[in-house]
Amino acid sequence: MKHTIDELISVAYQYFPRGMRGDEPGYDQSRELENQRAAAARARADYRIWRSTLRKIEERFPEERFAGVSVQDLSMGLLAETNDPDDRCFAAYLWLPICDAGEHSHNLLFRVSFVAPYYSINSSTVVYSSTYYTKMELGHDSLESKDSHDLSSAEVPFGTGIVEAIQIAFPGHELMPASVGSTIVPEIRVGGHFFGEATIFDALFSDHWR
Amino acid sequence: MKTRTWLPIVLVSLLSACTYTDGQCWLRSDDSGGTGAGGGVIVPPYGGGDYGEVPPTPQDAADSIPPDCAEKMSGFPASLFKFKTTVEDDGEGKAGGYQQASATLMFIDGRQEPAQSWTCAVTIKMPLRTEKYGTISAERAAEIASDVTTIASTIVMHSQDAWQPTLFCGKYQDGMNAIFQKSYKLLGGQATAKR
Repeated sequence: MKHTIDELISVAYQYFPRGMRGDEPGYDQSRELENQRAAAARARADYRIWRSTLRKIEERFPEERFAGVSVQDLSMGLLAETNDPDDRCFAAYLWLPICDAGEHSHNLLFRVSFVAPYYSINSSTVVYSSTYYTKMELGHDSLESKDSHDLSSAEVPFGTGIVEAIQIAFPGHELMPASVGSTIVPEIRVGGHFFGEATIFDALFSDHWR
Repeated sequence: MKTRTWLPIVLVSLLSACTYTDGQCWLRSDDSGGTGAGGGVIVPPYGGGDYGEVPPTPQDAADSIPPDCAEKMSGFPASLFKFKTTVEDDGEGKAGGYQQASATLMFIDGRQEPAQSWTCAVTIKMPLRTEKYGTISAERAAEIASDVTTIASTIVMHSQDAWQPTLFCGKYQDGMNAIFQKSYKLLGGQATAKR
């Protein structure tokens, strides 16, 4: 990796003020929040690169040949000019076909940071919970999400396609290992994650798309 | 002195653990200084989109839940969420456009004595069009927002015996996003909540 964990934590501190909870005066006007807004503005200008990346992934996995596979852009909100930017990354799902009767949905989440030269990719499968089988109806507790940064053998070809598209569009970006991205960044609050909870992934990518 | 015995508190489901409790039902429409929701929206049960700064007037006490309270205690209604387009849909691709709505939601936790109340400023965002959902009207978006905010409030409130408000709003944000990602995953919606 290009950076040590300490260096990545230092980058996180450029975007989140240390020791501030987020609801006290001065937080929104802090230099760090200004850095977030500037980064979001740059990402907005680069959005076409992201869209082009998604198109290339769609072309690589056309629905005619890959039934049940589709791309969903999660970064359309970046185009809205706001003083309250949400993410530090571009993000998208690659939806995969459901291969098991117990699965509700299955996808790969991939994210490209625009505040550090890294991307991430992880698998998420939503399965029916025991509550569902008891009631045989969908409710908020009838689904469970299972996430992993280790792709299964069936997911690897899709992951490879995603990585190759990212590396062409964002040269110099590297995969951030889960062991690094999951490191806690002390003293900052990121979205709903309080002091001692926010990770490098949360700070340099997103606390929503995870 | 009258005894207030209504259950004024937020969502019935949110406080299902504590049946009836002391409290007051505040009617925004009775408050001449209120700038907010109006129309008899009950502030403690779930607040209004433009929650006013002037404290509302307490409704007269009664021994039963006032009809307005009972009517409104089933969750955060869709009418709280006025979605506005923030990115126009260019019609290209499988999805496009973006919309968002903000509302100040009030929570009252009557599991302690005295009951504690606080607000979270909530913003819900989602595309205008997706492959799975098709065109998502402002009305449909508001229904989804109502569902997500209501479900998350129940789950998050009951995940602890008591809450520090700032902590609650943060966890509420996480809760709403978890609902989006589990139950509305193909939508691509997201939520923020701040004190």
